[in-house]
Amino acid sequence: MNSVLFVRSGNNLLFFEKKSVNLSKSAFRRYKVIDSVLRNSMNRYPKMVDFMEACHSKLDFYPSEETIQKDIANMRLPYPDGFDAPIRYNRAERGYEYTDSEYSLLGVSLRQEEIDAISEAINIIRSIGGTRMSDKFNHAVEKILSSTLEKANVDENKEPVIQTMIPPTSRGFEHIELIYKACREKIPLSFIHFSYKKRTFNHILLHPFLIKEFENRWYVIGYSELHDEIRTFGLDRVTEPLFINRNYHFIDPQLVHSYLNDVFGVFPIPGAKKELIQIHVSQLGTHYFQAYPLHESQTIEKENEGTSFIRFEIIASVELARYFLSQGRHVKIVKPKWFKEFTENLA
Amino acid sequence: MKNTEDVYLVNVDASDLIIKNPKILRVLMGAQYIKIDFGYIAPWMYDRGGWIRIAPYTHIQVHGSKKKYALKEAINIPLAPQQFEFESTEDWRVFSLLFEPIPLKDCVIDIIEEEVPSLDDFNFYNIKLKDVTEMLLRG
Repeated sequence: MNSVLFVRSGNNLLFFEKKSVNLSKSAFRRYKVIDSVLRNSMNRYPKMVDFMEACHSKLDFYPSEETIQKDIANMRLPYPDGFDAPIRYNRAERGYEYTDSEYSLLGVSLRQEEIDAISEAINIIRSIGGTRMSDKFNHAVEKILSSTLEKANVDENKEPVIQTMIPPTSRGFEHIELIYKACREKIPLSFIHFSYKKRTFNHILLHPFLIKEFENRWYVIGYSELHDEIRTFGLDRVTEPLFINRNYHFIDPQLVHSYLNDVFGVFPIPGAKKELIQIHVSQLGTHYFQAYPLHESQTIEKENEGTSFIRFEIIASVELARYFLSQGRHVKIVKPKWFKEFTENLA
Repeated sequence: MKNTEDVYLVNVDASDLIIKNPKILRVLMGAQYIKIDFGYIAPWMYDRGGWIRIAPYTHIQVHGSKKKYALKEAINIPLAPQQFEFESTEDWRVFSLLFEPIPLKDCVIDIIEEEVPSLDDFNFYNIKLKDVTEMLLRG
């Protein structure tokens, strides 16, 4: 069973697929059988033959005594080569035993530093956007928490030490897995869209290729049959998306790459191409642009008094214009002239 | 051979309609039902956008036939006498009506809420359904 994990990276939604590993022929399966025999309270000091019979019964394979001895030796090897399994032969009882009754191979035999590392990682993942992840991932986290972090002494009442903006789930977010599948498997979609600005409804047939998050809002981008061009739709305005059985309209990979990398925001200004955008920034604004670059193409040319010219190689977007406007007197658009005028008109 | 579970996205031409609100947005047809999706914008002339509802005896008539195809389910819109009250004239709502299935072929239909309608009733005439079985939905 594969599971899908959605993670936000910059403005893009990335996905990872976790594939379960087939261990049917591995020694690890024998280790698990040996572990279960050792933890059987009805037979506290199992003998070699008990391990062999258990393997035969559970794995349909009759291992030799030598194989089991090697397995036990491997299990006893210290981390990271083995599992640090505290197995010893009890001469008085003529059988094997765990010297640490708490030890369990199946209980994910993690060392304390590994448990701590997982605990920290989960806290960070939760902080950067736990609510935005798919349910499947949340289930996986819960599983880890229940099986492992109990040992980590996680204090549920402890206040987090990382906090990011985690908005409540927005309208339309419930479609994200369906739209993700449509993007990934190239399935056209039918949905109803409402434009807040124009106050109109449309039935959209979309050939989607990208899900994008920007400022905590989610969008799907694709070729719209109605508009005969690439369009962006806010998920909050999408109603009842459905897969349709229709040939997928493939998008030029260059264009997809451009949407992924050259657009700040989600709504490129119609007709805009990737070009040099130059702004003049105040001393205070320069500090912030230095600390928080707006785009990877950003370059800063400082002036003597700390003001700067900042340049971007980017496709001008509505969001970029709004961002510059929001900076007030700290940012002045130098070029291109058309973008300067566009931004002034937005104000 | 068509599967009884198959549902088709139908090409709908509602350009002749006098009523523009609600707007017919999408029609899905299958052997089990015909589903019509509407978009409604709360109008400015009613205080707080007014309200909407649908009469339970709303039905479809296919041109060339006298048979009435009854409303089976209303989604996101109450059946009269219940009604949904808008809160402002900026509100909007998508709702769907599911009717008994009509024959899976190109046709012209009317949706009738009231036989003698007033301006407020949702009666739609001459809705052209084309290429009915060309675009299959995918599960």
